[in-house]
Amino acid sequence: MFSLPLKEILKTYTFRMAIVSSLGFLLTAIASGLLLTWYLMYQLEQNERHEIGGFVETFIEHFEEGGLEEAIARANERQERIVSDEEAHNIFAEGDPVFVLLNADADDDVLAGYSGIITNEDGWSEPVIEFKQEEYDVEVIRFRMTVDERLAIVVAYPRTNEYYLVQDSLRSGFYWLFVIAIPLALLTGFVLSARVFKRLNEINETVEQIGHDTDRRRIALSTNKDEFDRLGANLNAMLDRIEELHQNIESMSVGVAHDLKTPLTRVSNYLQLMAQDIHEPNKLEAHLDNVDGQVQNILRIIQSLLRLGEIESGKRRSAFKKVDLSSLLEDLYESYQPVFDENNKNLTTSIIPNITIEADKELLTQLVYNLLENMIEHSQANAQAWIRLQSHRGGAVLQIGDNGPGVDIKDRERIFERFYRADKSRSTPGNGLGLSIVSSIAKLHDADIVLLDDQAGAVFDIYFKTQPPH
Amino acid sequence: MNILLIEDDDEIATFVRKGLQEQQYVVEHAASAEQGILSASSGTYDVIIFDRLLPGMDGIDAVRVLRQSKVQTPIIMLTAMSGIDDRVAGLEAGADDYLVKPFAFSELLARVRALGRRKPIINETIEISIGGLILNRATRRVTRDAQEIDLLPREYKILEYMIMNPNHVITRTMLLERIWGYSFDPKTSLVQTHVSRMRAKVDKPFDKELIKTVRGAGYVFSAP
Repeated sequence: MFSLPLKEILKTYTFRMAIVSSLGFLLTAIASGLLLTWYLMYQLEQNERHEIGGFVETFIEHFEEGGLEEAIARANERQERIVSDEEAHNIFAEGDPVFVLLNADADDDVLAGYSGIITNEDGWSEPVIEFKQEEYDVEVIRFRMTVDERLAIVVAYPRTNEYYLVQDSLRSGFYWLFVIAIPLALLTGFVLSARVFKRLNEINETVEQIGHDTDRRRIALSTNKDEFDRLGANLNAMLDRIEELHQNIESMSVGVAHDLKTPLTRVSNYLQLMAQDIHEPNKLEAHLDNVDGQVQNILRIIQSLLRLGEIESGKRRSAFKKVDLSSLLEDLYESYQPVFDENNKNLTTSIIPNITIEADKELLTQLVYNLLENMIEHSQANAQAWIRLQSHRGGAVLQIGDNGPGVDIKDRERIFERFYRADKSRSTPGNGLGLSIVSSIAKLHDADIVLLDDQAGAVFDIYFKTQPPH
Repeated sequence: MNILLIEDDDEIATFVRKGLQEQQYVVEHAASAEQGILSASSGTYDVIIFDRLLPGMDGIDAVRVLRQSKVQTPIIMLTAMSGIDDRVAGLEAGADDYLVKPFAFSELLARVRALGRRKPIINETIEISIGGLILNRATRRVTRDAQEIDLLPREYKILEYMIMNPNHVITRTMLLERIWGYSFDPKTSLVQTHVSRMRAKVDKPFDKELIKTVRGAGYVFSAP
């Protein structure tokens, strides 16, 4: 069972983000709650004011129809003279209004109604009078209207039950929001971070182990195809690539050591022979020639390796320019056709004009040149070789091939590897780096190079993109 | 001929110096870029051989400094094995030639000689005539003893290069760089093939040879 390191989880980014997002949610909830409250209260108050307004209007109608006496009579008819707060409260408790008619001229003498609610300001007053009803303090709202110099009306009205109901449920709503939401936020944050932590920790631990001890271990993926699986898959791909490079270096070091050892051993042999033949100038000259030949060999290997390194570093890509591939090939044909001729071989071309690509001209030349030299070296007399350039699905395909001995099936996979030499070419000069250089130049140019199957000779197709990738 | 050699590696310096002295050249050696720049701007030399990698200063910068201070002496840069980029950078800074280490001494010698007696006038000459061979650089027409010689474009270029550098060894690498613009070494006989085809047209039908092979080095064009 996976044990949860509490402290580490609390420190995670996910946990902090979960808390922040929960708090954000809480704030939003509070803000919308407050808005709703304000709106409901406002609506209820509007209703109350509407009712009071209706009440006042009735009195004004009486007053206008029958004068002051009529208004007072109607008032007394409606509401016995109230003398105590308690009586008023009883009326309020029924949800009914209490009112008072005043003589506005004579210091607000009470004409009818209850004097306890008098106010001398026209319009709405702050709700002041409160009384207890059951467990609530009920507020009373008041309205005064001075009709003319003889009459003013003050109406007091208790807040309705709905008003308190709404207020009450909102209050408890907020209460529960706090009581439940905050612990819930912490809990979600924790659970979320614990899960993320667990997934990341698996990846972390695997990577750490691989870091300490490079091996074939890889990050286990779930079937969810989620972002962690993507991360894991990418890391695995990266590790595979690193391992491949690592193996490349290993096989290269072995190749370098082996390929340098042979000519150096020969140099050493010739030097010993020179010591033996020190008094025979004719022999010495021959030995010197041999030593020089072997040393040139070594230098060529080193030069090729440096070249490969330079190509694979990708630095030269920054110097890519538009290159007319068609005329570059025509030019190479012109240079090499006589060489094929001298070797009793035949080189032909079929090149469509005006194909341009983003490329390094020098390296492209070397790519073609390496393939051509291979053909001169490895094909029989009277062999046919060809250079073809054609358009191909938004790009161009360059084919360089011959009808020579071709490549054995067992060698096909490996011919682009460094220092790899097929058995039958071991007797010819060369260092097994030529095709590595060809393939790395193709790679630098985003071009795919394929050795065709089922061909009599060696036929390479190189697919160039004529539209630059950027 | 006076040669200034700026090279910090003692062994290479001795190797070059000894070889050049055997050819009766006067060689002065400077072991640092500063000393080299000082000598180059005060003394009179026919050729400067400048190592690219010197402690304290990049040879390319040094060459640029020399050229900015109006030192016009031909310069050959020496560099460790590398790609064409260095070559281009060296030539752009104002060097006249560029040689990659390790080099055959014959290669260096050929280049020193080519630069040492470089006469700019010849570049403006339109018609060049040596030993009965007349080459017109405007029409690209070549005749020998009034006989028209039909050369392919590349063969013409090789002949033109040779005729403009007469009496001195021209190496295969020099031709490869100048005529083809390649900075890699072909395994096959690319240069030899083209030169021999050109010679078959220029020399073979006539009784005297204008172009001779120098074993292990290259070719020499000279009047018979």
